[in-house]
Amino acid sequence: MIGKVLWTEYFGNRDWPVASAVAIVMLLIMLIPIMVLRRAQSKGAEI
Amino acid sequence: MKLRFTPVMALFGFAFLYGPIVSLIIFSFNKSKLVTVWGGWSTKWYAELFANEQIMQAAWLSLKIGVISASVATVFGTMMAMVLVRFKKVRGKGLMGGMITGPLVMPDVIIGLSLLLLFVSMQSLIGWPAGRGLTTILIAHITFNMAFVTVVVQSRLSDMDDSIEEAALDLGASPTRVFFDITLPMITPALISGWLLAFTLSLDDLVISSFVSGPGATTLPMVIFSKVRLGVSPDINALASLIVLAVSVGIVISAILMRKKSK
Repeated sequence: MIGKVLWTEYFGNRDWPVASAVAIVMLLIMLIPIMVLRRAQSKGAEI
Repeated sequence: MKLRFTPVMALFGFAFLYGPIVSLIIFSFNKSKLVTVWGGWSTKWYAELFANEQIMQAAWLSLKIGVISASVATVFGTMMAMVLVRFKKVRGKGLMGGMITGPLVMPDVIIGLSLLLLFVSMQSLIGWPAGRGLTTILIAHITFNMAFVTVVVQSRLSDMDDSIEEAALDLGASPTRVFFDITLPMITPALISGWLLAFTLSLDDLVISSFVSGPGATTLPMVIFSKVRLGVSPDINALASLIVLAVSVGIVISAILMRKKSK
């Protein structure tokens, strides 16, 4: 689990920059499918 | 075959949902200290629970945070929902409406980490909030609760018939008066359910609180989590049973009130 990695990186290793980087990667993993879905939906609405 | 299949599946469903809770309540009356060994009935863990200063303080702190953050978030969320639904021309409204759903889908670790980084840099730039504790937990909880309240109130407001408001305006009521006399009573059910949702979310939030809390501010989920990592102790079972009891009483009371109102 990527969330667990972030948790141990922050609370275990006290490595805040790496934790932030992991958070950004997580955000991208989540945001890209949503944006693709939105684009597909708006294209469907135009036709 | 079909008639017999459905009740069995329902039974499985209920067992899956409520089996863990029932076993938790039963084991809170266990005499033995070992969670897996049954040693007869006893209520000594309840006495031990009330004697445990750390747990009682954490429970009090969690309740306080829950009530304050849910109340503030209800006010802010209602304001946000009013702007999103009633005001037609606000610059950046579409962006705001899209971004309010952000905290709903964002993982807790990301919200917690980003709020922590914000608090740390704010502290070094403007000196506020000084240190982390109750204030930072409150700000964090209000932030994510606001989004949930906004969504609940927003759906109620957009279902509402706004011709009643227009009639009141036509008859000479000021916009403030219309809001407090017409709009507010009509969205009260949404406000109550939004408040309860926010309170529940605040009460059981572990991840965000862990990130933004400091020494001296330990909420109930944090205490339970750190205790369970060292091995499950039966007084946690007793505490959880009390919470289950409180929640059930609340649900029964609200159901009775709802039934009275619909009659």
